[in-house]
Order: sequence, then C-alpha cells, then structure tokens
Amino acid sequence: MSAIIIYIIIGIAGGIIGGMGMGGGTLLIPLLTLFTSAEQHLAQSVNLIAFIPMSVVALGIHIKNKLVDFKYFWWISVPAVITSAIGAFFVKDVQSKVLKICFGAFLIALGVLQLIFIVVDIVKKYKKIKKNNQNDFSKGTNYVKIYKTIFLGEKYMQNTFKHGIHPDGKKYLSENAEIESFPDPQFVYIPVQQHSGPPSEPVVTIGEKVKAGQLIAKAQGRGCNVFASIAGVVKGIEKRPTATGKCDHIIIENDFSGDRQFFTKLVDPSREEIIERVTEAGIVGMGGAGFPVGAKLKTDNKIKTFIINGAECEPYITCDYRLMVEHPEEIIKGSLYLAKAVNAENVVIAVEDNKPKGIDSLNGVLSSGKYPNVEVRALKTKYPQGDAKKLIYSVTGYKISATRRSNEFGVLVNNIHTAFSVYTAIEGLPSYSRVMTVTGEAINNPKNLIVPNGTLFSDLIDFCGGNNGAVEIISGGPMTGFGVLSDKIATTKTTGCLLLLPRKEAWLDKPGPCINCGRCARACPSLLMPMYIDLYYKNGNLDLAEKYGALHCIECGSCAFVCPAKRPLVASIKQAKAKLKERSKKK
Amino acid sequence: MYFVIFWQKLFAMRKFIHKLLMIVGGILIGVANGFLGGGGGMLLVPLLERIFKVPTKKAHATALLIILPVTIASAVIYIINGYFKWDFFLCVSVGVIAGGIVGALLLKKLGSFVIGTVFALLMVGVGIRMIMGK
Ligand code: SF4
Ligand code: SF4
Repeated sequence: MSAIIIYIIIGIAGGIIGGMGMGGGTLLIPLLTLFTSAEQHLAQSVNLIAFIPMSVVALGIHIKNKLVDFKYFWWISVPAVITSAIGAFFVKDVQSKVLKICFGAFLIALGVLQLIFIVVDIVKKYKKIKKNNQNDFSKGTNYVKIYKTIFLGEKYMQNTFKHGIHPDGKKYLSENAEIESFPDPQFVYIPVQQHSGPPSEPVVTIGEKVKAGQLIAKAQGRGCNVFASIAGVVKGIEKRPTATGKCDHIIIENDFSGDRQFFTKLVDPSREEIIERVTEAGIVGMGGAGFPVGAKLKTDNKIKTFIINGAECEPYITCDYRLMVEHPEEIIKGSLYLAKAVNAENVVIAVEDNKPKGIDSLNGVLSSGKYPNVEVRALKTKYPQGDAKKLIYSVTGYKISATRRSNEFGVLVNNIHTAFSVYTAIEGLPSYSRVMTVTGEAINNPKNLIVPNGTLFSDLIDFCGGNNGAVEIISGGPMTGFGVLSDKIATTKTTGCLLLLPRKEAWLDKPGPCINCGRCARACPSLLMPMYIDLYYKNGNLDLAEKYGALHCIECGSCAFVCPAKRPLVASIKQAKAKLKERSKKK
Repeated sequence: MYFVIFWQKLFAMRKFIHKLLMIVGGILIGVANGFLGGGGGMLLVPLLERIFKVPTKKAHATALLIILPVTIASAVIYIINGYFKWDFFLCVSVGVIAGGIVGALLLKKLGSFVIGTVFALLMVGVGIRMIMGK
C-alpha cells in the first residue's frame, strides 16, 4: 500500500514538472530509481508510457488552437522513430548500472544546456529592456523593473501604463447598435476650422450650388480642406459658436438632389500618392486632437512601428468599437496605407481587452495570413489608455516626455477611425462625414451613426428619440469632452460622441476644500501631483505650478474624477498650462 | 575572401542545411528517447526555438506532435521486451496526469526563468548522483 502511495506521489511530482514544460519525464526516471526499488529499465518504460495519454490530450488542444506546425514533422520524426526503435531494442542488453550512468551523464548535459540557454536569454532580455527604457526621464537604469521582467515574466513589462483609473465603461448603452446612416438634414453648418491649425479659407460664394464632397474651404498653411457634406445651396457664411470657441461656418441648405462628387480611386498607390490624397481629402486625427494627418505623415524620422489606436478608453463612446466589428478589413487596409506612407515596418492595432468582439473581428481578418505585418495587441482596460503617449508606453515601453514627439522614437499613432477614413479616401471619398456615438442615460435611443459634418446636435438628438431630462450636453466623452451650452452646435470631423447626461450622472457638485488625500496623485498617469499644481496656480504662483509639472499634464481628467472633494483639478491645470504657454511666448 | 565565399555557399545551401539539421536532430532525439526513455522533448524544443525560430508556444506544441510517434514506438518495444508492471504503471500514470494539470496551472503563476534555473540545477545534481551511484 505504502508503495502505491509513493508511486502516486512521485508521479505527481514528475507530472507537475512536466506540466510546466521542464522535461518532467527526464526527472521522473531518477525520482523513481532513487526513491523506490524500481529498476532503471522499468523506470524508463513507465516514463514513456505515462507520457502518451497526457500528450495525446494536450496535442488535441494545441491542434485545435492551431499551434502545431506540421512542416517539421516528417524530417525529424522519421529518423527519430527509427533510431528510437533501435535504441529501445538494444537497451535490454545493457546493464542497469551502466544505463544509469549514461542517463546521469545525459541529465548533466541537459542541465548545463538549459543553464546556458537561461543565461543567454537573461542577457538578451536585459539588453532589450535597457534599450526600451533608455528614454526614461527619471535618470538611471530601473533595476527593479528589469529584475521583475526577467524573473516574473513579460506581463510586468508591457501592455499597460502606470496609474490611471477605472471609470464605469457605460458602453452597453450603444455597443450593440449597428452603425446607421443619419439622413441628410435640411441645413448643415460646416465650421471652417475642424482641426488644430489655422482656419481654412472659404472658396464658395453665397448662393452657389454645391455637391456633397465638393471643396468649400481651402487649407491654409498646415491646415486641412473642408468639403460640403450635403448637396445644396450655400446660404451664408457666419460666425457661430463651436464646442470650444467661435469660428466661421458655411451654411448649406439641402436641395435633396443627392449629387455627389468623388476623387478618383487610387489603385496600389505609392508613398507620395497616399500622402497627397490624405492631405487633399482633408483627413485629420479623428480621435479628438484633429491634427492634420497629411502633415503628420510628412515626417523625416525613420518610423518603425505604426500604432493604430483602438483603445477607446473613454466611457460611453463606441464608434471605434463598431467600426472594428463591422469594418475590420477596411481598418487594416487603411492602417497599411498609413504604414506605407511612412515606410513603417509593422502595424500594431492596440485595442483594450474590454472589446473582445472587436479583437476577434480584426484577428479574423488577419488569420487569412494576407497581412503578415499587422498585429492586434490587447491592452489592459484602463483610462487614459488611449492617450497617444500612454499608448506608446503600453505597446513599446518607450517613455516620451511632454517636450518630445513620438516620431523621434520611430513610432506614430493614429486612431482607428482615421485608418478607416484613409481607406475610404484612397477609394475616393473626401472626409466630410464620420461615425459618431449619440449616447448617455438621457437620450431615448442611443445610436452609432454616420453623420455628415455640420449637422446640428439638436437634429441628432431628435433622430435618437429625443432628450430625456439631460442637464449636461457634452461634445466628446465624459472625461475629455466639452460641455456645451446649447444644442445648436455643429458636428465636426473630430466629434466622436454626443453625450447627454441626466442629473444623476452629471458632475455639477460644488467643489469642497482639498483634504490632501493624495488620490489625485495616485491616479495621474503622468505621475504628477495635481493637488499642488491646483493649489499653486490658484495662489498665483505660476513658477511653482510649472515646477510641479503642469506642462506634463495630458488633460485626461483622471485626477478630477477620483477627487472626493470634487475639485475641478483639470480645469485649473488647463488654465495654468495656458498661462504658462502665454508667458513663454512673451519671453 | 574565402571566408566570404564560404558563407555565401553556406547561405545558398541553407535549405539543405536545415534538412540536415532536422535529420541529425531527429537521430539524437530518437537515441535519447529509445535508449534513455525520455528527454527527446528537452532537445527538440530548443532545436525548434533557437535554430528554426519557431515561437515558444508553437515550438512546444510542435515538439509534442513530433515526439508522440517516437515515444509510442519506443514504448511498444519496451513492452515487448517485458518492462511492464500493471499496478506500478497505473499508479505512476495517475500521478503524472494529476501533476501535469497542476503544473500547467502553476506555470501561469510563476515566471519561467526561476523554474528553469531551479530545474537545470536539479538535473545536474541528480545526474551527478546517478553517476556516483549508490
Ligand atoms: S494632472 Fe493632468 S495628466 Fe494628471 S490626472 Fe490630472 S488631467 Fe490627467
Ligand atoms: S484628490 Fe482632491 S482632495 Fe484628494 S488630494 Fe487630490 S485635490 Fe485634494
């Protein structure tokens, strides 16, 4: 009886080692001969036989997961089967003692080999981590991180960033709503400034008839072209408020003729053709920053990796997610055009892991093997994962300080919707509409819509079943969006979301005094201490505010989100930043 | 100069060399598995991973496929030769399967470097002990 128990225990020990992929069989044999009366030959035999049932099961799983490469099978297996049969045949003529010595020698050799591999790997990893972190702005090598990465595995190294928060996603409101077309409205009010840069110059006159897709305002300097989003007659050009300021709007009245005008379709475009088309079609970064993509692509730096930002980390917004689910192939093709425009070697589509369907949909296209240089990377779900520099850190491990640009590090980031628009632009469509999410607890039917630029928020709200007690209307997401005072504001190329919040969800509480709890500092992904910046700015001490890193703030809103005293930290840091920038200009 | 030509020739023959390596590797693996009753996988995984540059997970899965027929062949011959005891085999196999599941779960928790080092040292130690004999 006790023998049986010992056998089982030794079996378990061998199995554990084997299950960890450490060559358990090779240790099962000496365990048996050292701790039981089993003889060497018998121990070898039991090792061989016990291996079979387990590996059959494991192999089945691996084949199902498509992890098995059949290419090597015949060339290695056939000679191995022959020699193993010969070896097994002759083993009975060898004395147990001699066999034991042979086996011992073999074990030592394997052990030494393994040690050599481990040392080689540690050296390789060490170099890699050091290279990835050479831009660390806290000086010196981070040995703790290196130690953790080497000994505890890759997961400590990448796919997320430090700090950050976990707001309630609220994506369920609209995530299952398929993308619909919003019917062209009676009037559109197209702002001439929909991007970061100088406003564009109108090239149409009042009373002129325009088609959808016709150029109506031309880019100035590093600006971007603006197109008519519906067919109709230009009714006027007037200054109107936008979500963030004021600018000229070109007003077009729909004549319902549905006339459209496209570019010619480019087939297999060259690098220059792509950049030219992207600039011509007026594509801007559609994640919200609105930086003209053409200007971004004209970089002189050597770009290695093109990251497509599908994090969509803000609560409520689902337009990028719907694009991933419904148009994965277009996104991948668009990303490859972008990569080609800067000669990037590979494309990483980074998606937060709370969107498994989006990841599956993209991987489904990639599994055809047609796009070997594209990879989908699942990132940990955390806000603000979608900030370009945080995303770069999560994907590549590069830390880029506020004063430097990502292209100096061989990385460029663009949003998923931008990749999609690049694809449609190469197909011939100018950028005059976009997919946006109309959502929030205060809208009756949350929807994902293709909306022509210049549509009034009020038209969208009516189309989605009307306003149901909203106290706050936000253009953009709840964290970085802009609260607007009226619903007579027009959508732009960068408006990804229209959010209507009821009293329960809106943050209208009066701020209390800071209780010095430090939560804001623990949440800040830029590793700042927002309470001090806030304090010094309010005390009028700009120098100290700068010293505490006000300029490194990415305006993500995490600090204000966690503050129990509801202090409007981002708002005051934003003002501090603006003042500091003004001051440095004067100097 | 000769060196360069040598490398160029070697490069031109790389397909052939790969095949040769596969066959040589196969022979070594066969000897280990047949004569010593195991260890083929320990040779095969690094061969696939480091020389043929198969990614780690794939290398493990592919190694399993290649080793399986080899193991079956040697096991059959061992049984024919009479190295087989019912009760003993059953006990150990049950243990191995149970342990295997635990091991696979543990692997997710621990970094492979620590385990790898511990087992490499263990193997050397056990090997020395076996050569010394009791
Ligand atoms: S200080 Fe700036 S970067 Fe830090 S959490 Fe607040 S808004 Fe985000
Ligand atoms: S979270 Fe709010 S209360 Fe806490 S330290 Fe920061 S500012 Fe002060």
